[in-house]
Amino acid sequence: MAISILELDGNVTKVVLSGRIDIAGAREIEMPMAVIAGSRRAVVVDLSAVEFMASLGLRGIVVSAKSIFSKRGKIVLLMPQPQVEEVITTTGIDELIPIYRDEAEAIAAVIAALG
Amino acid sequence: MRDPGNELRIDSANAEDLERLHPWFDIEARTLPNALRHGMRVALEEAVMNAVMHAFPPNGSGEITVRLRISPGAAALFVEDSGRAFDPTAAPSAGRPASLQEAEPGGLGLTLLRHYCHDITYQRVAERNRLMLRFPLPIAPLQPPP
Repeated sequence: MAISILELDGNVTKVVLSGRIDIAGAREIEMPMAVIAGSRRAVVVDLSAVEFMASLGLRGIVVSAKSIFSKRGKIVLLMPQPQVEEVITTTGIDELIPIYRDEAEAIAAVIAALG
Repeated sequence: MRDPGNELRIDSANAEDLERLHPWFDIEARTLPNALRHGMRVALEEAVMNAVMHAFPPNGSGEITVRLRISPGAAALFVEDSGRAFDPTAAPSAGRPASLQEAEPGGLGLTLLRHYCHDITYQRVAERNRLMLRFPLPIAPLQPPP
């Protein structure tokens, strides 16, 4: 599991997760995700290099999303692999935190929320 | 009877023990097809985390054991714990959350457990919760030569 954080133009934060967000991985992302959620309002979470995620890892993203939404910000998910996407859509979380396949569209969506 | 494999014993309150779950599965399930392994891995994590959350009192702990049995037509994961009775097959389905406030991790976990298992059997045996998660194998794994 690895997490890297990139600050993009327009006050957009891109969080790149990779590897397995399993029990150990979920614990590793908990603190950095909480820091981002507490300080940023426009967040794109790039899942393209994530091989595994179940409800524990999804919880970390949901908790962050609650905090960002409460500040009228927006968080979106970018390009999950099919197996990870199945987990997200099975739980219905994609209806609350949208999935984008195109990075430019994802960035535009979160910038729009900054008004 | 094939190799019954190695049982993993987890202290539910020990984070390092819990983190051994996936490496254990990597080894035990190495002969299974990739596509099947993914769903099994999700179900395994959900079943174990469900036991961590429901079987033991807050700040309490107990033992969870996990086993994998591979037979010609199916693979089965057994998750047992020594905690209070909790039957995830009887718990109401959380459904799809209408808002993030409603999206509770326990509910999401049960949704995933049901989605990925072919069938789930719950038994309460000798003061232990015993879950059997079954997954059909698309083809029988190769037999080693006699």
